[in-house]
Amino acid sequence: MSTGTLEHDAAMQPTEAAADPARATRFGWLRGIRSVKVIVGLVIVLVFALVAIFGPLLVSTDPSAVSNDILHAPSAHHLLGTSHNGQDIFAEMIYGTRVSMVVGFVAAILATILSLVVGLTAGYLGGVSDEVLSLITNIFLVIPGLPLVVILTGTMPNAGELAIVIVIAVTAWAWGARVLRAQTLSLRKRDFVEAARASGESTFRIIFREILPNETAIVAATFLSTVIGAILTQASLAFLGLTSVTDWSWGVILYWAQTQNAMSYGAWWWFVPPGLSIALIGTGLSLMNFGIDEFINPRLRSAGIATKRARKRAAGTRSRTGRPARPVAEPAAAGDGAAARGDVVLEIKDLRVDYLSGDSTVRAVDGVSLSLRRGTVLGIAGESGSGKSTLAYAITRLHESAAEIPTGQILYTAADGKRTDILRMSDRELTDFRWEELAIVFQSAMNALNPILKIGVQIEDAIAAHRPSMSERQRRERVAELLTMVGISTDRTTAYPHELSGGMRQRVMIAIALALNPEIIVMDEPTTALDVVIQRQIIDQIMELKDRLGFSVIFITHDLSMLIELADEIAIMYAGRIVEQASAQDFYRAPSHPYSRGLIGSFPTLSGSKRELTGIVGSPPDLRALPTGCSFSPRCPSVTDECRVREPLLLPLPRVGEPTTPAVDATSPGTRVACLLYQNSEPVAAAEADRS
Amino acid sequence: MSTVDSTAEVTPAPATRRAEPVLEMVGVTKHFAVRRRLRDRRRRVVHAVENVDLALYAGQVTAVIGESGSGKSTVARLLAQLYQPTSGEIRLRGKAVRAPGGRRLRAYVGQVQLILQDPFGSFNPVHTIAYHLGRVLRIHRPGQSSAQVEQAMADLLAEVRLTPAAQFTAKYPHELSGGQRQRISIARALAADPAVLLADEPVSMLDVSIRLGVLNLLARLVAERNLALLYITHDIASARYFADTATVMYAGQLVEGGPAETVTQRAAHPYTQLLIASAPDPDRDAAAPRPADKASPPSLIDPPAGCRFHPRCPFAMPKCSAEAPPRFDLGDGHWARCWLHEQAQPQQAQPQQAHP
Repeated sequence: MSTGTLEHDAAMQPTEAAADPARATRFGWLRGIRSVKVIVGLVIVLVFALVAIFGPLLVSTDPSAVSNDILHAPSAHHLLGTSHNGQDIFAEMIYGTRVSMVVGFVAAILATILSLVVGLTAGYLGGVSDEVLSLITNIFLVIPGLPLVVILTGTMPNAGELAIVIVIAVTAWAWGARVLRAQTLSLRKRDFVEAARASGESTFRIIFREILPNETAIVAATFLSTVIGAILTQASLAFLGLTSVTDWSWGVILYWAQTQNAMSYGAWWWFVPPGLSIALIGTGLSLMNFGIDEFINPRLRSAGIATKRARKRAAGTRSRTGRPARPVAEPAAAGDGAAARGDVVLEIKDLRVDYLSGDSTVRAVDGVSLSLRRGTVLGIAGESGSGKSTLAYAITRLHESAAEIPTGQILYTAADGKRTDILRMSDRELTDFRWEELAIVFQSAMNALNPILKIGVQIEDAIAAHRPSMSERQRRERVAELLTMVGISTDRTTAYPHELSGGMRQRVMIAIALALNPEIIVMDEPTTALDVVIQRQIIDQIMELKDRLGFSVIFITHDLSMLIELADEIAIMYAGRIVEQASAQDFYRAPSHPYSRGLIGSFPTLSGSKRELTGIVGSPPDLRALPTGCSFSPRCPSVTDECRVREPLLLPLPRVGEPTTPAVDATSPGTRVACLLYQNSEPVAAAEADRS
Repeated sequence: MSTVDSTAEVTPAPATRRAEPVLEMVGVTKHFAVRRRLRDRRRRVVHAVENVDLALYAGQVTAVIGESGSGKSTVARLLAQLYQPTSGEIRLRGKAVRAPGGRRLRAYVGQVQLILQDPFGSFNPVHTIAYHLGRVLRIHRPGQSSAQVEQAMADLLAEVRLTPAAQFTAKYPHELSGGQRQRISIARALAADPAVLLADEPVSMLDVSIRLGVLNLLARLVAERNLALLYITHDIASARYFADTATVMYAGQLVEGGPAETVTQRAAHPYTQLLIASAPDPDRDAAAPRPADKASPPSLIDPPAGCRFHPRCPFAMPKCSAEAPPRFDLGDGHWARCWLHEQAQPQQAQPQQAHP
């Protein structure tokens, strides 16, 4: 590589989000039990567990002891009353809890172990063992559980609790095994498993240390639901009299209450406690389920932390984005001049987009003003977190509900000269406006085709929705015309999306976008997922169609060299703002903003002589923690003290030749830059603008 | 390509022009079985990699350039022994190695480490960075105390310029940025103290402004540790800047190779020319003719006979669909598998001796 200067400084400072990592991570799992639901669930289950363990030791009454207190209502002597034999129901309940809990948990442990062994083996090994094990699992899945249990226990009536436990476990494991197999199958193909193999880990460790921990949530959920299932099954069996009716369990109490007509005597104390206990433990276990995900997934844990921090911060100060109030307040001198300059089809004025998450707000787009002239391509480039995609979504008003647009205008000028603000359109107007006037092609769009409909039908649907008066034949003709336009032969009209390559599918999306002759097409990384050759084919196609049909394009991408080739005008976004806007040629020949220069200096070139790559130090901005002053200042090679306090405005580049502007072209009308290097009144000494 | 006696030691034989390759793939073919459909008697395979020769040298970066589906990632996984070749050999320091698993694989990966493309997916979300690094250290440097492992971890993180180490080790992968994670991937690979790094698109998922930093880091490690680096990429321009030798892969075959500057500036194979003409390049003359190509790569289940590029090739001749072209030597280590260069000597015919 031609330069070794840059590499070290990417030594990124860890971001604040990680301030006290040890605390966040080591005790992070405790956060799982923050929620009230989980705490309630835990308490319920714990109480039952304690009763099951210690209850029988503390209760002196023998539950089987017969007395003369027949069918007494609850009293101080008999806390839960007595049965037809004068047996103490409280004592029966205490002893019964132990049996029900033991059966429930032991059966669930056995079932979970079985499903783990089968699921992990089948999923990880694959091949023949997978086929055999899956077959067995599926057989067990279709066996109706309860009838089987009834038959099995019926054939060995005095086998005791152990037999019941085993029978329940055998009938309950299959569902969990199937879920775990599917999960293992998908985890096995994940990169981190491949990375572990490539670092020489043993299969055993890969299964138990890499794969299994990622399945903990499923295992735990399966376990808890099997506990509930087992307790219910045991109760049902006992209720039916299929277990030993003298071994007290909740089901046995119910069995006696039923056979002795407790209901007709009004002896509610006899059947309500066991019924309520079953319902309670079920509720408790289900509530615990809620906490499992957070308990296990480190990402969810710290997400919780972040929300809490944001909340604190919001309480302390109103300026949540971390930006100080702007020292200079003056509307960006953009819009009006631009509008006057020519045939502007879309004008964005001082647009802001906030993302609300919990109580915090992140400003993803901050005061963007741009204009798109008819028949031209406006390119917007930026890194992740620059706000370029948010901008695209806001222009089309497809932003998520969590995004809010506090200020701004997006003025659309129709071919007849009528101007409307997209942000003030009603939903109805908006529906007409989209596709008719403004169409969208997103990066993921090619995966947005409905897999079960032929592509011709999907294009036709788009037309039919907006042109109900069109006859079916006209629509067909239009579909054929559109497909030819985007370079797909018309005999593919009846193809399904999966029969087309990624490039072809993206062409179909472009055809749909063109279907109603829109004035503007917004394209957000339309070719990023495609190979270079296919990308070139599609870009050439778009440009050719643009020249022929005369629409305008807003093209959003991170690929600056592509943008320079195809755009007329380029806007560079950084941390939600436009830092430079210029014609593509001016921009390429003489980028003004240090960030722009860094971007240009990051691209290896193919033709011409090799040049030195300078790159940019540091990492892309974190919108939740922007520095004060210029957002780029921590990465800027020309940074001054002032940059860290004063926020630069996007202003036209001064015409007077400055030491920092290397080429005269940079001062051509239209170039606007948000950098203090060009805005200080005193001659910029700092402007040793470091281009090497 | 000089073949090496398997008993030869690392000292370069005097007759060879270059040093011995550290890692080499000789005539390697990899077919993946396609799941048979019901009533389909034919056994069908994906010809993912066909007869590939590739050599990696210490202190050098070798690029493999190709589009998705070209087989370039399979080449990396074959070299990492994650796949076993259908035929052909992987040679480490001249010795054929087959290490499908167990202790042999462990010993092999101590020499050859793979860096994956996706900095998000290649870490287990439930483990900390310390766990990821610590495992590799414990596997490949057994018998170390915890303090030694910790020190080694700090050294590794310093080597990839992540300091202070304590601020990274306790973190979970999702708490770090893409660039930081890719540096940790590199640190993890270095933990085994390998002689060869196989980097599969190491920067393609990173932001433009931080790619250069990661590439420069790799370049420095190649120089400092005298590593052999395989750089797999779809970005031919980055190969020009970053690699010493560049090879171009199409539909499972290597079609052209040579010094990176020669391959990118005087591309000999029509496919390489197409790749270069398709790549975005603001410096290119706007009036330059655009490629007219409208096709896409062939199915690898049923690849075209002869040269696999011939259905798309603007220069295709009758011979191209009949016979697969051999390597033709174009001088200075530059070669191409294309009948257009038939007047040049097939490389195989060249004596393997030192040139002045």
